Amino acid sequence: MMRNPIITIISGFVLWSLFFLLLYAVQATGCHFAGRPLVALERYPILRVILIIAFLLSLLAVLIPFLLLRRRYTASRSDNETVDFTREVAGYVWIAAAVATPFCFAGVMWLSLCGT
Amino acid sequence: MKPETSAIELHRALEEIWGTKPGLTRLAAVNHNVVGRRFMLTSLIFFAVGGLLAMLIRTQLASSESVFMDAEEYAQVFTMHGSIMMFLFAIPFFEGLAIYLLPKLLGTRDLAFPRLSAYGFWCYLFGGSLLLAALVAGVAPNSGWFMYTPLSSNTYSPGINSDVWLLGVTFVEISALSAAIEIMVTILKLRASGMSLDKMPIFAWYMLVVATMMLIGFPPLILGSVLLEVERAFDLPFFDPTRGGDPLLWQHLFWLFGHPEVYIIFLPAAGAISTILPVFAGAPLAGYRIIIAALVSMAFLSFGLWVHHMYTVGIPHVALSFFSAASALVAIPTAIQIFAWLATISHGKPRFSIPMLHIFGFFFVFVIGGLTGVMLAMVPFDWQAHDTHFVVAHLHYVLVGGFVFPMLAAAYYWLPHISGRQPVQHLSSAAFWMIFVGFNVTFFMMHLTGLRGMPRRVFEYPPESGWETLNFISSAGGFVMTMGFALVALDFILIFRFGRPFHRNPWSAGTLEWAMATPPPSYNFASLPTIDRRADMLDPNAIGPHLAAGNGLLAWPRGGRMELLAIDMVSGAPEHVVRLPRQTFLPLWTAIATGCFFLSLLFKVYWATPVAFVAVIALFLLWCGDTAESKDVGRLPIGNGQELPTHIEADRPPSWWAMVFAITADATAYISLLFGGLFLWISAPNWPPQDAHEIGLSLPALAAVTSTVAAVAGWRAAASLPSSTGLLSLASLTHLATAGIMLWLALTSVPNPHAHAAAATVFVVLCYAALHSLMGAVFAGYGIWRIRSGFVSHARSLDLRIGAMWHGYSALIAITAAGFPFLLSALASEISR
Amino acid sequence: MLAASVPLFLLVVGLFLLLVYKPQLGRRLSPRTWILAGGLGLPIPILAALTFYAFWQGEYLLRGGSELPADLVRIEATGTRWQWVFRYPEVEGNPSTVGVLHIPAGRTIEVAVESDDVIHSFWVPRLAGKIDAVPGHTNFLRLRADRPGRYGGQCSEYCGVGHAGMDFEVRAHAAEDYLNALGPGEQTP
Repeated sequence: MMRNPIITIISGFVLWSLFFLLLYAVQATGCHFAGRPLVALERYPILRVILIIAFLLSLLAVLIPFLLLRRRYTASRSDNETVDFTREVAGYVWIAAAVATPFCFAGVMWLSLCGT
Repeated sequence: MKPETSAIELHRALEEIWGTKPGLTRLAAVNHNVVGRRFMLTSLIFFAVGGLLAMLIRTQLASSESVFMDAEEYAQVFTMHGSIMMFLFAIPFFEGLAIYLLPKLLGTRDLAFPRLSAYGFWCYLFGGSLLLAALVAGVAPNSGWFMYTPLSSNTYSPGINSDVWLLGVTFVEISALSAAIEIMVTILKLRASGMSLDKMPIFAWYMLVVATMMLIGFPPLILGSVLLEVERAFDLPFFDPTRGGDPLLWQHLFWLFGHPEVYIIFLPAAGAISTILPVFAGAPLAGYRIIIAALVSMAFLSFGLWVHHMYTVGIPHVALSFFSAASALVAIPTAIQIFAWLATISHGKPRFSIPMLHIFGFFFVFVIGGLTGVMLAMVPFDWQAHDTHFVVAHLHYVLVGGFVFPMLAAAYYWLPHISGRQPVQHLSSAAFWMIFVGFNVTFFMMHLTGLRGMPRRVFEYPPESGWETLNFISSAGGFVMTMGFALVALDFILIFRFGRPFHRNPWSAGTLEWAMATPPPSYNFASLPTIDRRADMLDPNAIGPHLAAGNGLLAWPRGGRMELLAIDMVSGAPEHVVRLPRQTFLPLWTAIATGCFFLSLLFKVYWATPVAFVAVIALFLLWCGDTAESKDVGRLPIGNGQELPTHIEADRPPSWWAMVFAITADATAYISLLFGGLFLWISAPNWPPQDAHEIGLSLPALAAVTSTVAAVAGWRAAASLPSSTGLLSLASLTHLATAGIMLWLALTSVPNPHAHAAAATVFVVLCYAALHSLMGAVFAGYGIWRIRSGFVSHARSLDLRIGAMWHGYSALIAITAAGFPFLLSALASEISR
Repeated sequence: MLAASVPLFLLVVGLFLLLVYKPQLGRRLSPRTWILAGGLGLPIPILAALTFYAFWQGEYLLRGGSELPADLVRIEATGTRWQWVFRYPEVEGNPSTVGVLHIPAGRTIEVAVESDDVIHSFWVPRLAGKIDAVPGHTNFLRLRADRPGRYGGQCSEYCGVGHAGMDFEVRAHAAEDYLNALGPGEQTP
C-alpha cells in the first residue's frame, strides 16, 4: 500500500500515459529519421520492430504490477473501510489500464507507420 | 468554549464576520455564496449573448446565398459564438456552481482561498468584457474558435482581432486555473470531520477529477496562446512554416487542452446528475466505487485522444490508431455511469419532476451525441465527416446534452436552495419541451446536412446544393429552442418573485447542503458537522437543527476570525484550524492591475507592461498581510474537548498544497514548451536552422550551480529559523545571478530569434527560466520581510517552507533550461538532410 | 454504424423511461449486474469490433480504396486563398489548371496536397476522404474514380472570407481523353 491512496488509484493509468507518449514519440522520431516527404506505401522494418518491443514492454509494465497487486489485495481484506475503498477503486482502475494498453497500442503490429 | 447563548445570537455573531457588507463594500466580497452566484449570473448573461449570435448564424443559413451578413461579419459571429459558449459560459458556469455548492456539500463554511475566487471572478468578468467590447466594436476574433495559425497569424489577420482572443481568453483562463487549485485544495483538505475519501459526496469526486484535469489541461492552451501572441507581437516564429515554425504545433497545444475540455465540461454535469438522480429515484447511487474508478479512467483517457480533431492533418495511420482506440474506449466509463444511473432508478421508487424531465432530455440527447462521437472516433468515417455540419451536430448533441440539460436539471434542483423558494411548475415543463423539441429539430437535421457534404463555417451555399430545406428546418428549430430558453429565464424570475417558501430540504435529499437555512447564510453552518457515513445518505432534517443550535465543531466565533476545519485528506480526521482572511478590495485591485497588463499588450503600449506586471506582483504580496500571526498561537479548542493547531503552525495546510498544485500547472506549461521545441525539430519544415547558437558551456554550468545554491539555501532557511535571514539573502542573490545569466544568454548567445523557430524556442525557454528565478528572488525577499516583521517563528515557518518549494522548482527549471539549447542543437545538427 | 446506433439509442432511452415508470422490472438484476452488463458487456465487444474494422478500412482507404497499383498517377494540388491550383508533373509540358482537376478514370491518383498560405483542406466527397493542406507540409491523398464524370470538391477547413467559395471540380476522363483534356488550349484559366 502506497502512502497516499490517490497515487495508488491513478498509478495504473499514469503508466499507460507514459507509454502512450513513448510510443507516439518513438513513432514520430522514427519517421523523422526516415526522411521526408513521406508516403504510406513504404515499409520501415526497424521502426516496426522498435515499436513492437515498446508495445510488449508496455504490456509487461502494466500487467505485472496488476497481477502482483491483485494477489496482495485478494489475500487480505481490510477492516478499515477507507483502505478497502482504495483497494477496490485502484483495482478497477488497474483493470481499465490493463485493458486500455493492448487496445490502444495494438495498431503498431500492422498499421502504416509513416506518411499519409 | 460554548457560552450559553441562543442560536439567534450565534447567527448574528457569525453573520457579522462572514457576511458581505452593503453598498460599495460589495465589491470587497470574498464569500463563496456571493462569488458563486456572481459567476453563474455572469455566465448566463454570456450564454444569452452566445445564443443571440447563434440566432444570427441560423438566420444567415436559413436560405442559400443569404445577404443578411457578409463573410467577415459571419466569421466574427461564429468565432464569438464558439468562444463565448466554451470559455465564457460553460466553464465559468460550472465553476460558479462548484464554488457555490462544494463548501456546503463538504460541510464547511467557505472555500480554501476566498480571495482567490474573488480575483478569479474579476479576471473572468474583465476578460469576458474585453471580448464583448471587441464584438461591439466590430473587431472581434474571426479565425474560428480554435484559432488555427497561420490564419490567425499576423500575415493573414493583421488587425487586433486575434490579439483580443489570445489575450482575452488567457485573462479568463486565470480564473479557470485559480478555480482548479481552489477546488482541489478545498475538496482534499476542508471536508467535514470524519468525511474520509470513501465518504465524500459523489459530486466532490467529480469535481476533484475535473479540477485536476483543468490543472493539467489549461496550461498547454495558455502556453500556446502566449507563444502565438509573442509571434504576433514580437515576431518570434513558433508557428510560421517559412521560418522553421509549424502550424501543427498550435493544433497540438490547442487540442491537448481542447479535448479534455469537453470532459471538463461534461463531468460536472454528470456529477450533478449523480447527485440529483438518486434523490428522485429514492435510492442511494448505485456503484459509487466503480463510478469513481470510471471517472479516473476517463480523466486519463481524455488526455489520450486530442488528435482525433486532427485526423486529416497528415498524421500517419498508426499514430491515429492510438488516438482512435482511446476515443472509442472513453465511451466505456460513460456507459458505466449511464448504467449505474439506470440501476439506481430500478432499485428505487422513482418520481417524475422537472429536474427529472431535464435528466430525460440529457439521456435522449447525450446518447445520440455519444453514438455519433464513436462514429467520428473511427478514422475512415472522420475523413469524410470532419469539418462538416455532421461534426457541428455531434458537438452540440454532446455539449447541450452533456452540459445544458443536466445544468438545467441542476438549476431547477438547486434554485430553491439559492432563492429559498420552490418552483411553481406551470412554465417549467412547457419550457423544457420547447427546448427539447427545438434542439432536436435544429441539430438532428444538421447531421443530414453534414452527410450531404455541407462544410462548417460557410456563410453561403449555392441553391443547387440541396441543403436549403434542411437548413431552413434547422433555423426554425433554433428559434423554437430560443423561445424555450426565454421561457426558462422567465420561469426563474417567477420562482424568485412568487415561488413558495419552504421549511427545509424540499426534495428529501441526503446531502449536507440542505442541512442549512435557505437562502443560505454566508457562513453556511453555524457549527461544523461530523460525518459517520457516506455523505449522500445523511438526514439533513436532523443535522440542520443540530448544527444551527451550535452543537457541532467550531461553534463560536473567536476574535472576529473566519475559522474552519482542515482534515487529513484520506481519513478525514481533523488536523488543524484554518483562519481565512476577511473581506477585502485587494482581489479587485489585483484584477484591475492584471487587466492593465493585458490591455497594455493588446494596445501595444509595451512600456506599461512591466509596470503593470510589477504592480500585480506587489499587490499579491499585499495579500499576505492579514493571514499572518505575529506570535505563536498554539493549540485552539474546536469543541467536543478537542484541540488543534492553526494552519500557520500546521505541517501541510491548504496554502502548502496550493503551491504544490500551482507548481504542477506551471511544470505542465514548461514541459509543453520543451516538447514544443522537440516537436518543431521533428515536424516543422525548414529545419535545421542556418545559424546554430553558440553557447559556451561555462555560463549554463554557472547558472546550474547558482540555481542549485539558491535551492539549497532556500531549503535550509526553513530549517534554521530564527537565523535564516542570511540564507535567504544568499538564495535571493543566487536567484538574481541565475536570472541575469539566463537573460544574458538569451540576449547575446542566441542567434536572431526572429530568424528561426529554433532560436525563438531557446530564447523563450531561457526567458522562462529567468522569470522563475526572479520570482524565486521575490520569494526569498518576501521571507526576509516576514522574518523581520515578526511573522515567522520556528513554529510559524510556513512562509519559508512554501518558498522552499519554489526555490527547488525554479532550480529544476534553470538546470533544464541551461541544458535545453545543447539538446536542441545536438538534435538539429544530426544528419542535415 | 447507423444500423447499430439506432437500437443502442432506443435501448438506453427506452430503459430509462421504462425504469422510471416501472422500476420493479429492473429490480431483479443487482446494481452490479446492471453496471457490468450495460457498462462493460454491451459496449466493449461493439467498440472492439468497430475499432479494428475501422483500422482495416483505414488502411484500405489510404491506398485509394483498392490494392495499390505500381503505376500511380501523380498530381499536385496547392491551396491558395481562395482557389485550388493543380499541376500534372507526369504530363508532358508540366501543365497546370485552376479550379478543375482532370484525372483519368479507373486509375488510382496520388494527390500531393500543399498550401501556399493558410491551412486548407482538400475534399472530394464522392471520391475520398479529406486531407489538409498545411503550409510547409506535403500530404498525400489517394483517390480513384471508377467512371468518367464530374465530381464536386471543396475546401473544408476555414481559410478566411473566401472559404465558402473555394470549391473546385474533378473531371474524370476515359483514359484516351485524359491527355487531350490537358493538352494546349484545353487548360482552364
